[in-house]
Amino acid sequence: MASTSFLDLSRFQFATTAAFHMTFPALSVGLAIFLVICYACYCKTDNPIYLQMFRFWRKIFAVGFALGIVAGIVLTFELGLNWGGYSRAVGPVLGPIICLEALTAFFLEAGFIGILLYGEGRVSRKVTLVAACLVALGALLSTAWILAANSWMQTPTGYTEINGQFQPTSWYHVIFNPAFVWRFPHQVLAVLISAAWFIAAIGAYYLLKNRAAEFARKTMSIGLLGASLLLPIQLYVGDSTASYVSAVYQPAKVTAAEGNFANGNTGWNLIVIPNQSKQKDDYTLSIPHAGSVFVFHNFSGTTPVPGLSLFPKSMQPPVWPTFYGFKVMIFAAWGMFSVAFIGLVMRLRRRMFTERWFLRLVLWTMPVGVFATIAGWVVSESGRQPWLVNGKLLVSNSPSSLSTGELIATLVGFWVVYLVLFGAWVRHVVREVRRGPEELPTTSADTPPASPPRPSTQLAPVLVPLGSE
Amino acid sequence: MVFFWMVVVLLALLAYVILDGYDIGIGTLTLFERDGGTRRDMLDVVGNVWDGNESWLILLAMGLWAGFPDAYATALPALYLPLCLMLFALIFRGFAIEMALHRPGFDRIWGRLFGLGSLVAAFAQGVVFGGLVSGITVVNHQFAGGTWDFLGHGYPLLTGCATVLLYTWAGAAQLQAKLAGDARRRASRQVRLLTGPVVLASALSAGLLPLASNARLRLDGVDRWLPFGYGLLIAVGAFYTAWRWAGRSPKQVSFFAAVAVQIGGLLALICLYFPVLVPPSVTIYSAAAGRNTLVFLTVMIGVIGPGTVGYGIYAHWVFRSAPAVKPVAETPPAAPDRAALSPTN
Repeated sequence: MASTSFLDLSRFQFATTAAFHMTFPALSVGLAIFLVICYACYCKTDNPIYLQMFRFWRKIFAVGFALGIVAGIVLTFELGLNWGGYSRAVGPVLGPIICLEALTAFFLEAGFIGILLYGEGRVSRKVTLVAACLVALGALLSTAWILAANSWMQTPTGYTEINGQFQPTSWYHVIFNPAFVWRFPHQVLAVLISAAWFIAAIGAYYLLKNRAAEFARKTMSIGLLGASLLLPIQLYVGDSTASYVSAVYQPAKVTAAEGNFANGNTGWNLIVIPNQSKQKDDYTLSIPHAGSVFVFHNFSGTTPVPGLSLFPKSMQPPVWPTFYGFKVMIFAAWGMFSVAFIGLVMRLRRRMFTERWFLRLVLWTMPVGVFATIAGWVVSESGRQPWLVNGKLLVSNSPSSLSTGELIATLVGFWVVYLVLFGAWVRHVVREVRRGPEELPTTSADTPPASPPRPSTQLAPVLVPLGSE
Repeated sequence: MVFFWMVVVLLALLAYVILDGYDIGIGTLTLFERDGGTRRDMLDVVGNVWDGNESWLILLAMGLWAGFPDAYATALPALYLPLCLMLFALIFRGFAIEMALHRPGFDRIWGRLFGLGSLVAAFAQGVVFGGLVSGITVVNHQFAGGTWDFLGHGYPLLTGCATVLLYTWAGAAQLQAKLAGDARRRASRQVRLLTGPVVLASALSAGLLPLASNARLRLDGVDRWLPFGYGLLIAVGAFYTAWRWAGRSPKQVSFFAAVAVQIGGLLALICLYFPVLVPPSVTIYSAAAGRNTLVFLTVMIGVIGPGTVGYGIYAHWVFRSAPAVKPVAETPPAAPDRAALSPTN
């Protein structure tokens, strides 16, 4: 058994490196699909506006994608570096799944991203389109395998334990474990919505600045349309994930997410100040009866929401991250849903592109989808504590025997490196957006123009003739 | 089955050392390149292949984890600091090259960072290698040594330098095949210049290995010393070939000779250590996962592996000629080379 402070440091290191990594897939999976949409539209309609969108978003996509890859490599190594006990125990079950991810997803993405980014002029349009599709497919496959592996840790099935190691008995049950079936669609929808919101917000920025109007309208339309189609599905899938997976297999997680210690509260907590050592909430603010409606779908509002006192103190997940992660996710989802709904109504009344307050609202909520995705992971991971493999392997039995000094040194190292990179990435995105989409090429990409298109470096609107149509 | 998976893991290691070895080497070389245009061409050579090359590192790590969990769980904590250093360097490197390629005007700073990241990554990998072959204290399936154990008596520092030299040398060999004109001549000269130090560093590392390692190195039996001898012969012959053919036609000979050096070296090492995976005590048989896992892995690699290698080769083939079209954001625009633009060129 490792000491608590050592464990917490290890946890903190993994949590922060994982959250940093997740920021990028949360955008790049959706952007990969968006690139496919843009290029497919371009191939079909020959309208250069789609090529312009494709090239603009490709620049944003490329750097974030690279960061996602390298930050992902870190995670795979951390499993062995910091969690030797865990990697020994679950290696036979989860190792092959991550191997599959490397073989099917990473190699696919890595093989074709070069063609997607630099292949124009070297390969035909059709090959570029296929490359874009395969990169997007790779991103989705990667999501699937990671969710399979993580879901197995939430609801392990299809294995036996031999000598302290999990050995697989049925790969079907390992991969299609009960949590995976709901959490995979939940995650795919989450990253698609995050990206769609990001895209819509950039479109809103150009509309606010009166630049590249045609580009901006198309971008914002596709983004908001995607979000408003996916959000209702997501609300349903998310609710089902909680009801059919967490409530059944991980009741402690649901209880911690609701933030009650005592049984008997029928309300839905908005704010709690948990005091886990005394096993009570120091403060709660709740909506009366809403708890039974949301948790049990009981509209009479009389079923009390269970509290953490049902579980021994050592088996309780930490309430702070689980509760507030859950609230952030829920409110972000509802918030985006409301804004998307308003947008839809305004679009039908043909006012969406001109109402500045609405454009500003979309612009300022740009990262909300990403926040919600990361908050969701906070719920699923901290809600699983103290287990690493739910019910089977405790976190405290899993770390490597390292010195605290090593841990602190690398933790600081990761933070410094990641903050620098994150800052540079944000600057890159801001600059690319300020710079704006390049001018429309006059000829198509297959017959290259005499001189490659110049980027528009000035801030003046470059697409005035098109924008005024 | 266990043996088969060991071969797969070793092939992944070889592929990684060959592929990322040359692009890390090119990265290191950018530090010594004064001409901005050539530096840009060097970045372009790496730009569209580095992430594919790095995928082999993930496959290597995950293949090790899946097939030999005990090895993964003991070797990684033991080599904690050099591995983390390698990760930091790889992160910086991957991000820096994308920034250098996509942010014209800033490619000086990011290009330098890319070079520095490459240098550190190569050194850290060499230290990891040296630390691993020297041996790791394992008790009850867990690493049980101290933080700085990996350094031993300094042998890993030697292998670190040797790896930097080897990668740089392979990178120069690749560059003289990919570039043209003056840049190619410079790269060929670098290959010739570096051959001596690389041979020296490799010989020194090999000669000191028996002293540094606490594992029993074995050359008993013809199935060990014969392939070991071949490995050494291949390496020596390939060193000479790479030196001799640098700057000559056909261009690729030099790089393939560098690859042969790496193959020969790995072969010789396997003969010395087999079946030990994490010296001195963890073998492929004691570390192997259960039968179900290995069957699954074998089927998986059999079904997916060929396709993976296939499109990896296709991706390299598309970009086999010198970079012709600059990324869109390039300023000022270079005149596109029409011959190089047609897909069948």
